[in-house]
Amino acid sequence: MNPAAQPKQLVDQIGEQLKTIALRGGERPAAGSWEIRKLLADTDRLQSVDASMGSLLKAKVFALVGDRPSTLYWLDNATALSGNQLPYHRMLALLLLGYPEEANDFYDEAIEDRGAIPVDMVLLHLCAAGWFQRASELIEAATIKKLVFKATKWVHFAPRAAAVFGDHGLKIDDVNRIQAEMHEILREENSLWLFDAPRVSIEESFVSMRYVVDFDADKVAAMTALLTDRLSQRGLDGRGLHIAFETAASESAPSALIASDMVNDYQSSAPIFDRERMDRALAGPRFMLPQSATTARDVCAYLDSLASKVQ
Amino acid sequence: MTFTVDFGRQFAVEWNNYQQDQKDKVASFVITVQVHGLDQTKLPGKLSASWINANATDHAYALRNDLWHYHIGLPTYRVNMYGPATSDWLLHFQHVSGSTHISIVDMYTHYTSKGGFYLPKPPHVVPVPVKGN
Repeated sequence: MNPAAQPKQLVDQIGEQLKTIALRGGERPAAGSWEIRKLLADTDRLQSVDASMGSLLKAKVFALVGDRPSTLYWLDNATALSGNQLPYHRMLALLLLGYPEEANDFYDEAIEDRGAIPVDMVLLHLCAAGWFQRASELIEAATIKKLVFKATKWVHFAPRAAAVFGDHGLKIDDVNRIQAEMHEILREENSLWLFDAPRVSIEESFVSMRYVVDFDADKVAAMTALLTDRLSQRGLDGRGLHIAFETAASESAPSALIASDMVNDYQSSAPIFDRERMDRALAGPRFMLPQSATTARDVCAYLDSLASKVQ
Repeated sequence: MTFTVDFGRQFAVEWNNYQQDQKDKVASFVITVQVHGLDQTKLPGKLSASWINANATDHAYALRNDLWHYHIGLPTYRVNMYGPATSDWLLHFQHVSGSTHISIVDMYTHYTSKGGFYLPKPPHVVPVPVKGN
């Protein structure tokens, strides 16, 4: 291992790299690209000192690339190493990969076991996925607990959007089916939406969600037309939710949500190294190998000597 | 040095019972870990957290006590097409995720006579109490 590669430093470094790529939006980075290979090499180094965190961050790299099997493989690995199902990370990764219906399966567990992920961030994730009913429930529950949200925009918007969905009888499963069609087109274009929250508004009797993509206006219009056609064919149009693609041109700088938060929430969660845990685990008499032991022969000599003393 | 290494008392007590080839393997592992950390690419044998693929009881015990093991290469290594080499004998150690320290506690064959996966117990390990007890 590179002596300079300390876990916290590496996590920060990988997090910054992920954030940079995610915020750039546009075409998904190729798995073989230099920047992804560099990220994977860094996660390899991290794995040598913290296998669980290394695996989790590797899953995030693959989610960004759009490689679903590898994402799930490394999430499973992180689960095996940490002993935690990591439901929130699974839900978020599936949303990032564009599989809202499967992400939905992890929702109940994720909301119960979201670790140190701040409630504000959870609210943003729910709203970005169009899960306004759930966002409203979260706001209600948080209000009872007197939790204060910083993302006031969503605190005001989510209940109104949920009410519109309610008027149309639009359920979470319907929202997910509509969202899945949108993600299918993004996959066909091998594109990320800019990891800003979607632009939202309430128009007369429907909720409008516009996902910003890095294409020219003609291309974006064609993608929206295709989405409208598909939703119509599947009977998913006119249900109180309208989704479209939009160019970045008319919007201010992104405020960094899903992908960057996938990193931030991790960085802000439990400390990387738990000294108390180490003290508990290593209770009982121990004998530290002196730093002067630098060869196999030195190690054997130390242990020979130690064995004669402890008999 | 990247990692520090210590030895449990019981391991030290049993050291003289090991054969020279066993001692050599332990020493070689220790030196590699001191220099490179738990870097699978630098180790010939498979390195694994002991709770992976364990049954429910062992899983909880191994996780609570941060138990890991290394395939030490005795009597020989079995080369695998899809991963690092494995062996019948394992070197057991404790490692808290994120730390740069390991504590070597035991060396034993992979499976017990009853066919279960061997995990070091007292006196090799002073178990972390189960929460609530």
